[in-house]
Amino acid sequence: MRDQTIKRVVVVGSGPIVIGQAAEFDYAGAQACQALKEEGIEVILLNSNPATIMTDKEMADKVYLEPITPEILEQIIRKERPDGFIAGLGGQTGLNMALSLAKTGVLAKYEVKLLGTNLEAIEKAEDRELFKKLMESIGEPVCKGETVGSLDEALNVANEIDFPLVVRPAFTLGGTGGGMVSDEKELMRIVKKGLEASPIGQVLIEKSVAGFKEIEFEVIRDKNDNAIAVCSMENIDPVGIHTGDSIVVAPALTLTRDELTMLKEAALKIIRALEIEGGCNVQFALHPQSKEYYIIEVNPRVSRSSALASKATGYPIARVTAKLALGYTLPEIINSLTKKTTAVFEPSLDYVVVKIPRWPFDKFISGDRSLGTQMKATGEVMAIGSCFMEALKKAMRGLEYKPDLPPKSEWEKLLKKPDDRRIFILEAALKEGIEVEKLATLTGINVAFLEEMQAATEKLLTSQMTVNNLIELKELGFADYEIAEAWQVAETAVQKLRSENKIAPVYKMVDSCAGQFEVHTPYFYSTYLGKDDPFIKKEESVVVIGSGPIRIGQGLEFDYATVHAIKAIRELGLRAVIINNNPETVSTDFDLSDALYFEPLTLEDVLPILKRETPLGVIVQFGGQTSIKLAEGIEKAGYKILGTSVNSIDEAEDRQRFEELLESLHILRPKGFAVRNKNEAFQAANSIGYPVLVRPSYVLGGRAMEIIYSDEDLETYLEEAVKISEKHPVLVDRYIQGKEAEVDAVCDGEKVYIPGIMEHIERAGVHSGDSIAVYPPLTLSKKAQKTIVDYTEKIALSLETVGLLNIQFVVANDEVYIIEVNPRASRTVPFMSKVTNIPLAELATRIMLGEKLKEAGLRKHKGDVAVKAPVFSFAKLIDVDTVLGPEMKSTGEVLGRAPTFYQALYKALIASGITIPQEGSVLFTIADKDKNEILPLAQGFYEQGYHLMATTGTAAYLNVHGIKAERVNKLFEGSPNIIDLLQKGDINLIVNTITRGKTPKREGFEIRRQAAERGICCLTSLDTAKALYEALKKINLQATPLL
Amino acid sequence: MSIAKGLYMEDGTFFAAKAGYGNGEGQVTMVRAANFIEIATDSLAEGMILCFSFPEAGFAPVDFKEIESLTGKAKGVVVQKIASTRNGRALRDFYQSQGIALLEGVDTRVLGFYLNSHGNANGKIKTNTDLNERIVRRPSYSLPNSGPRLAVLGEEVANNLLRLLVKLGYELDFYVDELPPDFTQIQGIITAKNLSDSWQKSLLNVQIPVIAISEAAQKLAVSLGGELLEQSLFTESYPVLEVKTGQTVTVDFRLKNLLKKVPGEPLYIDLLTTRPVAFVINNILGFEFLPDIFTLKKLLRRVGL
Repeated sequence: MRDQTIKRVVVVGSGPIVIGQAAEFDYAGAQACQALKEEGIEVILLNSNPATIMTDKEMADKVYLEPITPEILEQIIRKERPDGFIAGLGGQTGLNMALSLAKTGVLAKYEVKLLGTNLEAIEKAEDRELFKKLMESIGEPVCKGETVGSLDEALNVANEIDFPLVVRPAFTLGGTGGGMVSDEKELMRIVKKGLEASPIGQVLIEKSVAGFKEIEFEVIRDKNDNAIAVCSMENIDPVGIHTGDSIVVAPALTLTRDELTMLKEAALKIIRALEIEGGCNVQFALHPQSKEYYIIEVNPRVSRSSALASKATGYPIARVTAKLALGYTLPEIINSLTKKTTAVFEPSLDYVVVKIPRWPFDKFISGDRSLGTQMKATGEVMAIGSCFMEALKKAMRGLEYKPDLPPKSEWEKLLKKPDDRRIFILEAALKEGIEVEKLATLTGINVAFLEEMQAATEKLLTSQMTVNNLIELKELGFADYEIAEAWQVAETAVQKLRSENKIAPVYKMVDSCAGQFEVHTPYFYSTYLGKDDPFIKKEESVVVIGSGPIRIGQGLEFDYATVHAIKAIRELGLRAVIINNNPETVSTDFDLSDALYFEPLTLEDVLPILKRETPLGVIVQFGGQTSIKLAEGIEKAGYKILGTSVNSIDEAEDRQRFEELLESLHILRPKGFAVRNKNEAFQAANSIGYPVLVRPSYVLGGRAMEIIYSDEDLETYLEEAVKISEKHPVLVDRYIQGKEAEVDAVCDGEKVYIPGIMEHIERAGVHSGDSIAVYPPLTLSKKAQKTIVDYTEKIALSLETVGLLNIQFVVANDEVYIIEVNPRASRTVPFMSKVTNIPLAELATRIMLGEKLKEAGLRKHKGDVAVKAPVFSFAKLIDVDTVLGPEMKSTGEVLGRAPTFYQALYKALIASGITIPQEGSVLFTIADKDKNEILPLAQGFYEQGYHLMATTGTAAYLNVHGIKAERVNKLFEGSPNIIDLLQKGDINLIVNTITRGKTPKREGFEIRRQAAERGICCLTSLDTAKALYEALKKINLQATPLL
Repeated sequence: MSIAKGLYMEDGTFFAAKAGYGNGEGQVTMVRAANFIEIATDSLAEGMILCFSFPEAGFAPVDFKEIESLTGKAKGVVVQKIASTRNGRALRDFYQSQGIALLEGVDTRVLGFYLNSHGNANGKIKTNTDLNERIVRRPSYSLPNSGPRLAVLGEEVANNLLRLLVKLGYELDFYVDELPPDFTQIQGIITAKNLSDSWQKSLLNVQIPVIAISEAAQKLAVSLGGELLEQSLFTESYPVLEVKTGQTVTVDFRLKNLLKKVPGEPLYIDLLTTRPVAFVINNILGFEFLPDIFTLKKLLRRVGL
């Protein structure tokens, strides 16, 4: 039974979304909060991420949207005096907080129990040496390895461990300076390089298990030592690629009975040895031909893999973990999916699940897209099918991303040293008839997966257009368009053949028991094999289309809005149906909606669900561009789009129609042209006047906007960045260097309600998603604000908006220009909802379902100042330039709230993970065009006691103006240069503006990358730097109140 | 008349299959583990039709160490899918070799629902193809394994003898109407075929061991100077004596004629009549009975296998 002494519990979230720590912790946290509240526990929550469901008011009794630091957490504990603290739900952030508070004696001082996984278990799992000793004591093998600081030590270690070895320099990213070694000569060469690359002069030498199978087990244990394996998962990619970047299949398919039993027993032995009470992830490396295996990693907490396992099996790991933390045992917890089994019942799968990561290289085309031990994916998709191929193909189309393939001559190299395109190259190689054995040798992928892909490909390429062949191909997961392409017919011909012969998907439940019990939880997947599971639909339904995998530009914020829409639909007594394919999110928690369809978000996959559900209407406003682009097809198929019409969506998105609308409303927008050749481009740029904002009117590998300052730069842009042609025009717009502002509004077709205006700290030119936004606006004049409200109302009403609308403005000399209108929910919806206490998505949903607005106009600001700051994952993305520009780069966001702007900003910056130096050296390296702006900033830092450093031109400029700055060498000016100083830790903050665009070969790029990899704050916008300086000058975080 | 391929339950409920072979009748039971070989050969599965809920078989290799008994125990196996991989093909071959009927492409979830509401019920696997009692052979294919590779010539070697070889770890390559193209790629040959003259000549000249059983043993024995005692079909179990050790063992005989005289000294003799029943000369090991696993190991050692 549960521990009755626990009445108040602190739960810590994982903070902003960064690569490696994403939405899965919101899913886990939200589930855990619900589980705790069910037990009557008072929940006190800390998280800095406003785009999370777990920070909603109803999820906890007290929500602290504050930076996650030991100091803040101590303040909360001091104030709230909780009985317990659950650390295992906030990812690594949560565990770090637990370790820190335990070590500093805070938990003991305030008599707070660490619930669930105990401190010793966390330490044993996290500390390499302790973990090794524990594994040795229970007879479980770990890779031999030692940390060394010299070549001699390296040789000694190599003598003890057999080759091949892997050398990993300490504290470098993406394996910089490391590598595989197979003999002594190579060892010497790589260790020497690694020691130089490591900032602390150490490398880890380990037995290499690259090429082994990577197998994961999600296991769970209670205080009575009951333990089960929830799910086995197999990485299709062998060891060597981070599991977050691997394609994963569940259940593990290629293991023999003996192998499966051996690893499952080992995983259970480990969770028992660590005495974990809750969920735990164990990763194994298994030799592909023998039973030799090693434990690679143990995560004593919920994780990305546990979210995947929960969605794959229907076993709610986070929920069960929360209950176990309160003292329950597994047999005492009812499985909320089956409602007939307890949590000690091991799930059984009669379907195959495939997860494919979603990488950001459509955005970061110059980034190093190779895959290795450093995770690079921002999100993932999951697909469920009756067989491997069906699940794989569904997952592939769920990515909404098909990269351009490199030339055939590069395939072999890229299969051997993979990047994000490997699965697509593999598919193409099989179509070209490249032998499976060769592909298996190159990739290390188990031949069985390749043979299955080959058989399916062969079937696709060799089959004639017959009904039987169509059935077989659909069972293998091929989309209609792929079949049509292979048969060389129109897609409509395939659709017709399907329709005439009633070849349609059926829907089965994820029941966690393979049909062993009758289950009615409406969590469905489609398949072309077999019959529908029993389906009961009582109420009228509304379908919400989700936003798919998390990617830059379409993140957790959209899932937040989706979840609120579902809740609103249910509150109105309607059946809420969600279609989505992201396993990390709350929206795909089967408990949330009345029906969850885990399906790719393509028209082919969505329409049969609509046919089955026959909804009152479909909501596309909350799933970002993913759902918006389906709107037209859904409407054409005869279903009602709720809210703003498809015609209005088109009017906002079609450049010509939109310009005509603005003209008719007498609303200004930056002057611009669509140009079709170089001459037209130069003419346009010169007639507008530099700087100009340029972007392709079509998407080409993610290349997007740039600010261009001269003919020379325009020439380079047109040569390198885009393929300009009659078919593919380039848009050249006037770049207005003004303040940016943004509005989210709700309209019922008659009235417009604006909860607030946000002002961006950075001037126009930095993507709104990468800007620091402040609410209420800081510097916008009353006149400008009035114009913004006026324009918003005019546009919303003219577009006959029903629901949400987001508009971005630029304000220059008090003139307001429209930059962009999004006829849907935007990424600022959660931020505005949290800071104004108005649930915008819920309100918009009610409006879409027929309710009318009670208020109109601009809501009057009350209360605190709120700042939204972006969070980046640059440290993990090698070769990506950190400079901010018109193309979005951030992966997440945090909120800072306080009575004054600078307090709020300071909180937001701390929460975003920026290391703000309280003293030390600031390096200025400033482009000529910006030099006249830096004097007050540099003077300010100097007066605050910072040591100023600057590159030659900047130093001369500062010195001439009487500001003392030490000149430092650029890279080509000899040693010690900037990089040397960065490596030595002599630079604590960098202010760097760029000369042009984003060509990543310039010196500034090297400096920015070094800073990113060493965690040194590098600001590329003078506006951000000025704001940071002011905050530094005025604020002391300890003195800033909690809200 | 052609029947629909699938599982026919005793109450008339029918579960359609997309592929399969053989026929079998028994109690239909759900299996939620992925032990495709172990459970099918477990004595507990005697007479049953096993329905596996695991979504797709044939990715994991066929591990012969999982065999629980020397003969297939289940009457039939029902699966959702077997992958189009070499492991998938090996699994199908294994079931066939064990005399286990197979249905693929069955909605096992629906079958599971049925069994939940009806309890375990009897059913019949029916397909348009009969499951041959013997291993169904295709020209040149393999049962992969970890031990020495033997070429199995013709279709006459009995299934239970092949199972013993598999159990002992031999990898088997099957050749129905042809000799192996390259004798250097195999470590031995086994056959029970009524050998033609040209095949006899070839086998007497190869540099690897040839295990000749029953009619093949008799043919080669005669070629090497032995003699036959003509009999009609002969099926019986009785003891034979190992000449070297004096130990006896009971074995099965199933053949037409009998050996009267073998080339060289006999390895085993019929305890009742003292006629020779096994011999070794040069690379040829001949015997005309079905040995147990220990006797087989002893015999194979005689020719270095």
